[in-house]
Amino acid sequence: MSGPILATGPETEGLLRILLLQDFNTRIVVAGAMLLGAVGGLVGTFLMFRRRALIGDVLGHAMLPGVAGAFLLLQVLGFERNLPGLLTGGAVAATLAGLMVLGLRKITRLGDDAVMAIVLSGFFGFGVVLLSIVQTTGGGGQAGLEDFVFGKTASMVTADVVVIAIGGLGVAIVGSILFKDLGLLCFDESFSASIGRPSGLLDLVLLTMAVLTALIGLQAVGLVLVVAVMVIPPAAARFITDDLRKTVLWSSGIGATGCWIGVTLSAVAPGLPAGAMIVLSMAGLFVVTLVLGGRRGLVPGWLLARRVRRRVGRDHLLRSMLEHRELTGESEVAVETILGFRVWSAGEVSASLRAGRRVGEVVEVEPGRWRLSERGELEAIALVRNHRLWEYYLLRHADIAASHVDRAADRIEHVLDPVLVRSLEVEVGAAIGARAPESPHPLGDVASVEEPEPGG
Amino acid sequence: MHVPPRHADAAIGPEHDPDAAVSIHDMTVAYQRRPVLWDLDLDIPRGVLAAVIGPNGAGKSTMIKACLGLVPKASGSVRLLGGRPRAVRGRIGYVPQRESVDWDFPVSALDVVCMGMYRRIGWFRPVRRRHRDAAMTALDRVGLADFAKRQISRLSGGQQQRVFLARALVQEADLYFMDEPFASVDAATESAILEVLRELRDGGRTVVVVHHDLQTAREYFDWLVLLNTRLVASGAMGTTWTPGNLRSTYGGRLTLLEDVGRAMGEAGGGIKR
Amino acid sequence: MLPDWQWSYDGWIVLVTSLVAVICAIPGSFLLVRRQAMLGDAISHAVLPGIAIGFLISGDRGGGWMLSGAIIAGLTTTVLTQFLRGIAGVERGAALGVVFSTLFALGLLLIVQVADSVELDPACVLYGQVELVPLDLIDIGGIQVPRVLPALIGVLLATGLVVGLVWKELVVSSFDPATAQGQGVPTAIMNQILMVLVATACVVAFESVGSILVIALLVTPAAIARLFTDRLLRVVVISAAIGIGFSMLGHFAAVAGPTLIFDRQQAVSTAGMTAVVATIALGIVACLPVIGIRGRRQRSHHYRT
Repeated sequence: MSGPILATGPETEGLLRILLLQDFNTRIVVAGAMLLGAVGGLVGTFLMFRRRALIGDVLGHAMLPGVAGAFLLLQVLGFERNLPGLLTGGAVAATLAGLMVLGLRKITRLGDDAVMAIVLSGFFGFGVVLLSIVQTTGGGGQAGLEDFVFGKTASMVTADVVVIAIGGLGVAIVGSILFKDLGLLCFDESFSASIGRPSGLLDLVLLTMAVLTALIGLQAVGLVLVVAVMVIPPAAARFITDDLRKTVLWSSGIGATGCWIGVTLSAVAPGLPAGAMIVLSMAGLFVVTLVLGGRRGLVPGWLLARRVRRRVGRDHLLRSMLEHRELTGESEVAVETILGFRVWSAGEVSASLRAGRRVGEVVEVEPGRWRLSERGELEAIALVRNHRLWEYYLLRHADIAASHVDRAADRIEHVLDPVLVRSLEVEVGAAIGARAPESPHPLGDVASVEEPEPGG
Repeated sequence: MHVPPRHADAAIGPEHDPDAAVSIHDMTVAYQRRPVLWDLDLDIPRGVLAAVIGPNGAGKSTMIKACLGLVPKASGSVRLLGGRPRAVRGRIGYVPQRESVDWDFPVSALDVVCMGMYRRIGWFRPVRRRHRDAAMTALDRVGLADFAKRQISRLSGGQQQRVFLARALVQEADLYFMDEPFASVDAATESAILEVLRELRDGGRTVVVVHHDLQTAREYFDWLVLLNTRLVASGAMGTTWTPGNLRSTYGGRLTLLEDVGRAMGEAGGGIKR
Repeated sequence: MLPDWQWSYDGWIVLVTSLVAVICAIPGSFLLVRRQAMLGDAISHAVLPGIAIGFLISGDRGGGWMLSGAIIAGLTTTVLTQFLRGIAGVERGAALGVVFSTLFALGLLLIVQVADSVELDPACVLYGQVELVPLDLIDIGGIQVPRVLPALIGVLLATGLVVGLVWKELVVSSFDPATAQGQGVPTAIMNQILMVLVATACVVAFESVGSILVIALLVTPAAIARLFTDRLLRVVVISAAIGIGFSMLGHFAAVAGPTLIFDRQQAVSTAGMTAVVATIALGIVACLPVIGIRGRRQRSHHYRT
């Protein structure tokens, strides 16, 4: 039952058989695990936005007394140990725990986190008590119950997957029907209540979905780790997208993929605990999205921050050099003089100069002396014009603060309509005057050189 | 290639005025990966009551936080009381927005006020009787002596703001930054706060206040910093409070400008100055 | 009294769990008011890989290796959680969940792979075996005391000393980090000190009584105390006293409960029973109408505009 999924054979052949799902049993286990991952990702997204991500942990731990209690009850009544009975026990206990969390939250001023920790410890403690009774009553029961604590994916059979599929589908259907209502509850509880959405009832629905997820996760990853199925995928999806709908989709996808990888790994190396492998696979996917995720990932974020810093530096450099030329009439300028234009460090200045040289906007005439190239001058004029137009616009027309406008980056033409830009140019005309011709160069040109290729 | 350190504080450039309480040069602050303050350049002299005014999202709180080093700067440099912010931190008082702390925290009003003296009390030493007495004096000054033992969630919003103010008082700082101390407080609190601010100024200290209410700004403060992602104007209230500057700050908000006009009319027609 | 209550046996158990209760009450009160109550649960799970690696290095259960491994794992949890929250902007609970479940899975994997599962049972980390404490005695100055007793007393003294020394710094950095920094208090270090205290409590508990007892004794007594008082120092003192009460009641229930209810002579898990007693007590206190009404009235005083 708890042995390897596959018949033994040459290793590569075994791997292929697993990857190609040739084995019926493998297919069952993979399907079940992937369904679990998808459902966990769906429910977990709402839990995370409701700021109750760790309720999955409470529900998981709370199943121990349910399962152990059901085991004892079945024993006393003289029944064989059977899975539906144990799961029912787990479901009852988890539901009670969930209700206790919601109830304590209502009648005390304790925070969500405190209430969850209190309920978790009480239920899990009761589970440990019952487990110690199971231990002393003898019989092989204890070993079977341990599977629930740490998970035994490989022992899934068709009936389990059917149960998972039914439960999972139910959760998915409820989740999509109530999608917008649950989303609103998570985003703005008071508004949701003000338009007649019963917060208590919706929380109850969400709780039921979480209990079902924990229940179907019990077999695969065990009650201690079931929280991972509901926490890791949505957290990973947040690095990729800001949109609730897409977060749900990504989260389900990441959950399913993580479960598939985990199950496959544990099938290839039967000694590895399947539940732990599923969690670690999900964690691996999490790290990938953390590093590379398009929305909040580290690398894109770091690149973006560096780009902003460089753009600010280039902007400052070109404008300062243009202003210097116009004030003094000299086109060449020493680095020391540039340093005096603004508050910036020698490092910042030399980095900006080097970057400018790479794209041909500044030229080093002799060591330590620089001037604008022809192209750099056009760029500088365009920058000055852009800044002035933006400022003028903000002075005259903007009725809110312009913190959403990046004056160096956003070409005014890209944001405002051309008629307004023309009228701004006319209004600001005298101020810009000879320095910045109305249209220094074709605008398409500007866009194409705006982001210099690194090292180009 | 040799890459020199990119330290904003290592920057050289135009000299800071050592006599200014706050001196900001070329400060650009990128917040959430986008610059929200551009090329800020301003000095605030010592001994004034300065208002930082601008529309929502103009970067008022950001400016204060960047001065204190709570938000990283993309470029530029700041000197407070003639020194680097880190070096003079002990002489700077900061009153954050009220929402920034958890008011359910189990401490009394007196405890919160005592926190303003922790630097002076020092590590490993307990709060002593004389510290508590000083805190009581400060609470008395803001009219909260009777509430000293009360847990802070059982104070009204205005009282909570006054607790913060009392904590700033015991700091005995030379320069104070206050983030919206007048936001949604009752009239009694507003006049109590104002009185304390004036006492501070009269004692030679500098107070920089983020303020949102154009109606009262002119009456309350004597130095004005107008901000809208960039500096619009900075100077003595009398010369800086002009329709042009205000329009520049608030753009084409006509209804608001009417309010301003009325406010200026009530304030004694200072437009023509 | 029960016939099979022996002071030389049950007395030691109550003493040991009471010590754990006091050790937990101090950092637990801070976790509660900082709204980080789930951190105890998370750290007690996350120490598993540290314990496994310590076991792998030293090859036996005793010695400092497992202890240091566990403390490092505990600190890793908080550092990684902080990193995910701060730099990557992950919601607090989710960040904690990601980190501790991953570490626990890693610990399971390590134990299955390297350690002999008979000698190092992951279940034992969670449930604990307080019942074995009085059987594992050492001789100190001619008196036979449980082997864990000196360690527990040491941790208690160290915890008390540290918190006593930096009490006001811990309070201010928990309440208002911006002010703390202005007052020259390094908030990041203060947070780490608190986390070391939590991790140490989890680790000594794993050695002696099991994580479930720590999870129960960190937060629940403090939460009850918080319902009765508005002063942090009192929260700490009252929760320590309540924790001691729970330890006694828990062990008594574990020993006497089965006899009284089922007429069985076999005692049930003391750690588990203590957790049950604590949660039931909180439920009762929360349901007392007086406290309930008081709690709500206070919340309505709480303006956040």
